[in-house]
Amino acid sequence: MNNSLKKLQEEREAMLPPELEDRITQHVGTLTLFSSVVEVFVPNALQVVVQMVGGDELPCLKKAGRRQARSDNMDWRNPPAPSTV
Amino acid sequence: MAVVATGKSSTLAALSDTQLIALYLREQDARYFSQLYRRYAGKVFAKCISMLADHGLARDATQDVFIKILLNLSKFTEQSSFSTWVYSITYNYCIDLIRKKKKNILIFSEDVGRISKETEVELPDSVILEMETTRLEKVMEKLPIGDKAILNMKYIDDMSIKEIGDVLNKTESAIKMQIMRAKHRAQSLYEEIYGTEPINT
Repeated sequence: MNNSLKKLQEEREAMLPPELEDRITQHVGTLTLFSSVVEVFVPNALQVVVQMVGGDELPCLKKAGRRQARSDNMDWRNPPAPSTV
Repeated sequence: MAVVATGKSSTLAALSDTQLIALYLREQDARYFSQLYRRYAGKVFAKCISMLADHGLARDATQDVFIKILLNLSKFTEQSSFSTWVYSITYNYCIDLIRKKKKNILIFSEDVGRISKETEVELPDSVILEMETTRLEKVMEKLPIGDKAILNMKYIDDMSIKEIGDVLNKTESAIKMQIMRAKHRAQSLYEEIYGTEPINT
């Protein structure tokens, strides 16, 4: 059977403005960049805020070895031991 | 995947929709999304023109639909094919757009309120499918947007009644009834515009 609806659809498909692809590609680029920026900076910004209000390091941002390195100077209420040098 | 990295468009063209989605989500490389765009942009644009009957609105709607697809790509679950998912976003976007623009607009023929007993009689598909295209275009322009969506899904996208029901959040029996009513409405619009001239002249 003839399908006039499909014919009409095919005619309209050919009318797609070519500049639309550039516009969408631009959006895709911007959104990809934005998501990378968010991924890199937001966790660190969040960490700064948490530490400013007296919180501990966010568990999701803990890196192997980092906790041990920082724990030497963690208790700021006691002065560091005098240098032996 | 190393072959894909060469960037040859012929290689990208050989990938399935789901492969392209997985690669885009993993590598965030715009080339994979562009390939999906090239596959579906024409069809989405044609549907937007059919639903909105305005070239400028259809262009903006196509752009918005693809941004929506991009933002929700990670939510695509493969319960339906990617094309069905893309078309359901398109139809629902266009229906919402018309709803927002015209608060009291009729979405389906059943909302007209003067459905006669005659509309309960099944009409053959040829009433729509064999209509001359320029006349069909005029008739489709005058149909309520929900009827346009239903006829497009059934006769262009070859979607099953269940799939149409899922897209429009309606039961299968409601969809069957609406297809029948949309055909009746199209036929009566044809008669209003062209009188009793044969449908396929």
